[in-house]
Amino acid sequence: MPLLEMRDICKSFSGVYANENVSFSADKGEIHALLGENGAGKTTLMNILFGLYQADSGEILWKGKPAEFASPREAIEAGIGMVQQHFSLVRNLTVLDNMILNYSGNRFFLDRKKERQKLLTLSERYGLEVHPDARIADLSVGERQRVEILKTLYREIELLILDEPTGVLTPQETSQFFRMLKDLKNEGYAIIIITHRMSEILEISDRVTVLRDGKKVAEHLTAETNADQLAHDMIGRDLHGLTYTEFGEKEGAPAAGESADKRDENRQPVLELKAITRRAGKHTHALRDISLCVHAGEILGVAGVEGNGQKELAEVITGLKQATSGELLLDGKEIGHASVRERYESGISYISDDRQSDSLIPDMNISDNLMLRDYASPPYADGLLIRRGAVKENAKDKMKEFEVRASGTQGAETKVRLLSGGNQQKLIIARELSDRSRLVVAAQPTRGLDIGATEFVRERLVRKKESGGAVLLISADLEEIFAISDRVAVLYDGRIMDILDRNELDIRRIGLLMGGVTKESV
Amino acid sequence: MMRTAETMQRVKDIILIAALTLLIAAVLVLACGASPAEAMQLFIQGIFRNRQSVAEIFVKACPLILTGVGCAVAFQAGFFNIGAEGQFYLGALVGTAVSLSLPLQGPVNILLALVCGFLAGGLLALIAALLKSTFNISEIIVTIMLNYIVINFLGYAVRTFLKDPEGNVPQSAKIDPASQLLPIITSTRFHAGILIAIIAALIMWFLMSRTTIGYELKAVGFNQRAAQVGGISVAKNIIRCAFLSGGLAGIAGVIEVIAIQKKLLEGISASCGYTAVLIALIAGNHPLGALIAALIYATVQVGTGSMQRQLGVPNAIVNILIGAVVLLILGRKLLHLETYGFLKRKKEAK
Amino acid sequence: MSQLFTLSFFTAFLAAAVRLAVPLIYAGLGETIAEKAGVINIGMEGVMLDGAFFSFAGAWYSGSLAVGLLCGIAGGVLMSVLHGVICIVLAQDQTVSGLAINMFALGLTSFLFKLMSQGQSYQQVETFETYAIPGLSKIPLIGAAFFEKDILCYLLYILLILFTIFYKRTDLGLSHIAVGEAPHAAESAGIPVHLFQWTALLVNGVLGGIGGAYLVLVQLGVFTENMISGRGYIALAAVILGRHMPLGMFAAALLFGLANALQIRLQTIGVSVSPYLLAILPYAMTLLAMLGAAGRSSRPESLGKPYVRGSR
Repeated sequence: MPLLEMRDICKSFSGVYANENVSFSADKGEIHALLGENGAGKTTLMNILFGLYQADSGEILWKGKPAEFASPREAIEAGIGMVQQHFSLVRNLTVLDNMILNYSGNRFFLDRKKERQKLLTLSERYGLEVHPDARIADLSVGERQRVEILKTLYREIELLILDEPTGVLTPQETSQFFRMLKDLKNEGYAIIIITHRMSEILEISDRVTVLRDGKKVAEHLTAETNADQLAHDMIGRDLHGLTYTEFGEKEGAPAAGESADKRDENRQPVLELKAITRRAGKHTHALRDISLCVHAGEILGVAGVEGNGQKELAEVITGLKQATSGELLLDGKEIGHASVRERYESGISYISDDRQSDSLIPDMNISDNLMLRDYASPPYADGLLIRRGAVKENAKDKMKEFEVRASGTQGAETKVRLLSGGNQQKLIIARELSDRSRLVVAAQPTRGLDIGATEFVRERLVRKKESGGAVLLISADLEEIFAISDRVAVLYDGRIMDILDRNELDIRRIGLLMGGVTKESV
Repeated sequence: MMRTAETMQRVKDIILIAALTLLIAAVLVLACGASPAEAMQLFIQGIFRNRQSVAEIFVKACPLILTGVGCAVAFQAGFFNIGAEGQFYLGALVGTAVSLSLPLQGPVNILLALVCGFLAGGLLALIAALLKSTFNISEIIVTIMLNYIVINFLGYAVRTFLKDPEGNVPQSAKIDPASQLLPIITSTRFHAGILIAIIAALIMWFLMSRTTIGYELKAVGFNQRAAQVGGISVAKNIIRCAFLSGGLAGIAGVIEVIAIQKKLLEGISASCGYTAVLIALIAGNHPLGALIAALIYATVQVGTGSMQRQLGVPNAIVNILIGAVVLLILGRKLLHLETYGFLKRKKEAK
Repeated sequence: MSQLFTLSFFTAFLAAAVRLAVPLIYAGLGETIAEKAGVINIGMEGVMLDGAFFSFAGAWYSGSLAVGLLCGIAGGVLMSVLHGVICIVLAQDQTVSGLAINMFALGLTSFLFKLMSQGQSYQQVETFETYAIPGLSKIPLIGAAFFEKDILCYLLYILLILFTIFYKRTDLGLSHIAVGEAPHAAESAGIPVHLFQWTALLVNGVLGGIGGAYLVLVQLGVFTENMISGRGYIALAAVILGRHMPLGMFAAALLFGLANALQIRLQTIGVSVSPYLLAILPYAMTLLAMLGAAGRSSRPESLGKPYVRGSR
């Protein structure tokens, strides 16, 4: 009898199936991987198990008995814990307070001394080192994940669900994390790991279930399958242009076209950062002594674990934040004190990692969002007056050219909040990749997009570079960095660890740099 | 198709909210021991009694239009200016001081009083805007505190430096007739200030919907962060909308003095600065919506005025009703049957 | 000026400050609790006004202070329930709702009061008596100010201590903080976010209602239209200045009480400054204090953001 069995689970959101007749099971002492693309329904299925959603139909058997969890609390009390992709931590509370939140044995008064001891014991036993009194906001992403796992262990669960746990870790941290998972498995915990990375599945799991478009398409024992088969199951169609390759295969791959030296000679620098430093607090730095250069016709990838200064780097370049010291040159001219608007006008455009809050005005319509950058200049405006005709025309053209699709019949008048994520991103691309832009700062440009939209976005960035533009691609997704960058800078703790040419790319080396090992020791 | 469904839903909401408001009014009238039918009759009679009573609607609406449109513009940009009351009074005070102290009378005097009133109201709102944009201090608290400060200062002014030297009551000297805004329709109180208010509303509508200034204000109001990332200065726009909004309230104060009261005294706003907040909310922050809402509100005020005189129904009933309308708008989802259908389904699922 | 600085002056001055601060502290405590759970109630002014009116009406018709107090509480709760329906159930804008509630309460209480009084002026209702606490009330300077008070004031001291312990030392208090900081994280820790926000709002209504009732049942004995005159908003400021903790808010509210008491004292001893200018003092102080506290934000991270289950 399996520990957990989910049978014929169905769940739809406003008429669209997120899960359709999915069956799934998990055993003690087993790591069961749940594989699928973004939007395949993996997280929905696990959220149903964890009591965040209720299934429309189907049943859950927990230890052989029918169970339905109306809330996470009920799931946790039954012995199911989940570490969500977006961590469920309270930033302004300490590690200890986060751990005991709502689960200390005492229902009224807290005994922080006792709980603290318990935390230390757990953390020692599983090698999950954290400081009990540190505020979550001050911890790195890897540390936060440790807190999340400690939280579930503290709650005495038997089944642990992990949603994309390695997305935020360096390769080195990942292998340490996998060792810990194996320990847990050997102690008899059942573990479900949601992921879209095949290499990880092959390394760690015992069994793998593949979901596609809300349906279960395959279940394999890991020992009896391989990457090709899984990729086929997961994607179900061939991709043109970009293919999923394991990182290892890229090692030492020759750069497309000319050698690095030759390129540098021919291409003029578009953006130059010289010793850019930005202080965050009195003694802390968000960016330290950053020097880099992006040439015309080049994509410079910025790799690194998120939270190591990526956002600040993008914002210092686009003018949202000021550098404390250092020089910032665009086409050889100092722009360190120019406003966001002035920088845009001289050619810096920005695709932010946070579409909804940074790049779009969801309550305005498509045409108004498309002119957000240029509303005050012709053809959109004539002095202070807005020329409605030109605005509409532009929207029509751009929507066609960039394949922005609005459901409903309002066309360019559709409120942007009603668009899908992919269409929202296309809208931003349509606006930011104008002829005027010389340098595109693209931060996590394909996050959360489906395969079609991802391809579209990457293709547009490559096209920009081919037409002589410069692209600074900031991404936590190494696969993306490897796929389209000409050179790769690695950011760690606000510092550039090294800048590698395409033909020097090597997953192990990048991984070490991302983890803070200096290039000399690499 | 989606559009028509949305419009239908809106029309349904408006009808439902209007009906419910009438129902509440009826209950309140009953609570006063009067007959709703009779009250209704008096209400309508009160409005259409004669040309004076119709003109009175516009007289009452004038300050509400100006302050209401001002609030709408500020709210649209995400600046919660609750200070129209204080801006109104400071405008009235400065306008009076200017009018009384200038040696020359006539149109120039009027114009200068209006301009100075606008500046005074605008500058007062600017304090809150600066505190918000530089220190991120809640503009709601600041504007409210400024209201009390200005109102008390006005009490001081009409007892000291602005006091009519020939009288013994706390009020200013009379504005010279040549510098008053006179009625433009004979035998009514319909004065030129009303035209100023309506024109101001039209200008604000044009500004908000057809110019780059309006686009910037809306962008900042809907998503401050995205506006900033797009290159729009948030601080500049908050300051801009606060100044406009306060200025309009300031003009309302001046007009109230030079067209209606003919002198400065306490309590002349009739709380229009607070009512304006609700008018802007009802109008969905749309300037023309605010114009219409102010006119409707004034109509109801005139009608209930006659109810109060004849039936003893307190005219505070208007305040309850306008508050109720905003709450009903906020709670309109509760009026949709689907809401309950959804709840039922959820329960069944359990 | 010499009479400004005698001990008896300070004693009376401090006593007046505490007396004037108590309604603010009640409302401020109610607001702290709501804001801790992520709901901002700009409508505190309306909650207090409702509390004041209904306590007056209750005490007037029943002749009983206890009934009056209960009616005041019910009136306050009525407004915060309205706020809850709009903000928690319907997830609408909390600022807009709060403003609407203030205006609605103003209309409602004015209307009902006019209906009740039919234009004639009222006599006062009886007010709560003071009980000096033996020993403590004999402490020079602060004894009379803090320990020669009415029962509602003593209740307030207890509540302040209890809520401080609640947030610092209890499981439930920690959960309340988590709800205001990160409702999604709280929900996945099994905390029923909406239920907690509701309880916080109910307490907000009860305390705000008592704050309004205190003005009538302890201080003045009468109701007048719009008698809260900005105290609800000053309470909001006190919460910010007090860094969202009960004792901090207490200190901030006491500061406003001092400003107000100073203003009144100066008037009574006949300082040659217009009472209208003196009346500006507490409001100006609020502004200055807000300016002084600028930049040190302690607001719960999710304050004012409606929480919808399942969304991100």
